[in-house]
Amino acid sequence: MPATRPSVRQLAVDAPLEWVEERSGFVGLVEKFLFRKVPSDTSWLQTLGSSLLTVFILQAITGVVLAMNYDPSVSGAHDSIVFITNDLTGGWLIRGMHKWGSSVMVILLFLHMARTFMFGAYKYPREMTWVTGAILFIMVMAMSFTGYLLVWDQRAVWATVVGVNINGSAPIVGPFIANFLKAGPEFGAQTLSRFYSLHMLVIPGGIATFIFLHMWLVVRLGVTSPPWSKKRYDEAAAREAVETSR
Amino acid sequence: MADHPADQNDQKNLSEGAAAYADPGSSQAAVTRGMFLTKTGLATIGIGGLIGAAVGLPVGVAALAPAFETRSYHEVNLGPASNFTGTKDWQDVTFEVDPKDESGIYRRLAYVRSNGGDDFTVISNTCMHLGCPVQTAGTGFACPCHGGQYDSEGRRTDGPPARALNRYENRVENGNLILGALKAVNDKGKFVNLKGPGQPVDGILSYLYPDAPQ
Repeated sequence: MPATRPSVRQLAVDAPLEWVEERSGFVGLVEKFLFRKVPSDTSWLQTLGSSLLTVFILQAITGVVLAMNYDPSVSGAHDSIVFITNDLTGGWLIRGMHKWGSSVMVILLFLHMARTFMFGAYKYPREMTWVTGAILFIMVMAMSFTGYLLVWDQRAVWATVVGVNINGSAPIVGPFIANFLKAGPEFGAQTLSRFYSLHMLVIPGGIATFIFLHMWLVVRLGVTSPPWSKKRYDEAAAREAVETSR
Repeated sequence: MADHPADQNDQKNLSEGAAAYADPGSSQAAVTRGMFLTKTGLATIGIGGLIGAAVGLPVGVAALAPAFETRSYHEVNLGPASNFTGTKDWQDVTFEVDPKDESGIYRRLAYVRSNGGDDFTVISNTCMHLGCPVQTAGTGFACPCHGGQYDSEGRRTDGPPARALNRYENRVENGNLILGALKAVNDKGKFVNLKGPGQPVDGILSYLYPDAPQ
């Protein structure tokens, strides 16, 4: 049989993908992730987690652009915010996306957590998914707190003074936590650079790490059916399913 | 069994009695392969831990150290004391607590009242609920954030503040009013060590708030 000419699709798509798959296994990994089985009665309610991931990516990308133009100094911070908003091409849009995106992320987070709670999706075998999600929740709160100061206007500073002092009013450790956040006994220049570092380096790294762990567990354990599902919730069957998937 | 060279060696060793050398794959070896790998593994974890500590310790110390630094205060000269006499009302005055800083972040506002002679009361405008700036209201002070109310001596009369407003130590020197350290004020009106807003200095609750450096 004479060799047939490979089609354009084979040349442009299949062959490169095969090349990558043979060397890395990435294609199989993506297929396993995207084409995994979910219960037939999942609904839009189970898309809140993906929405959160999307908003996190949006925040990360717009945050990179903002960081390129932001000056984390007491004298320059607010001026650089004004520059981003008024002078930088598209800066008003990027800053707006980041600002509104932060609120959207918190709202989606509460909805996602409420959905998980109401569906009882935190039960066996998904306890660790819930715990990693709870840690993500704390880190997103910390992002909101540290990001609010960076605008460096009167509202940002006084809201953060109040927030730091709320931490300070916790018994025993409070005064030390407040001093750690302020980088000393006085709220000042060190506080701003500390918040900037936490906001754009430390906490995002933690969030990315825990998103990976969270999604690893979601893919490994699968998605729960809603409470009104007729297939739900047979713990013995769930345990057996986990046993056989090993 | 005898396919594997180690097994052959094993049998040879057994047949020849004590041998100076035993293959690490055999159970006769002084250090078996399993023991070697276990020890190497433990050593790897140990050395890795040491390297981690060598990097992590300085990082942790540098990140935490500022939280344990004490407040450095500079005496502030508010000018002639006579500027504040002649009235029994509170007069507001702004000043820089860090003379080197020009950004305004270390600018503070205080209320000064003359009590006759060289006796002045200087009250800080930081609310002792959560640190917002208070302003004069009637004869006393009020906080716009969460409604804290203070009387003419800066003592809490209503709302959420944990204690009375802080006061500055002060003295008159060569006719000028000099501000010293900022102090917390307890229920008896005595100066005590400064604590952050929201932290009580009286009663059993004060023991829940150790003196963090201020």
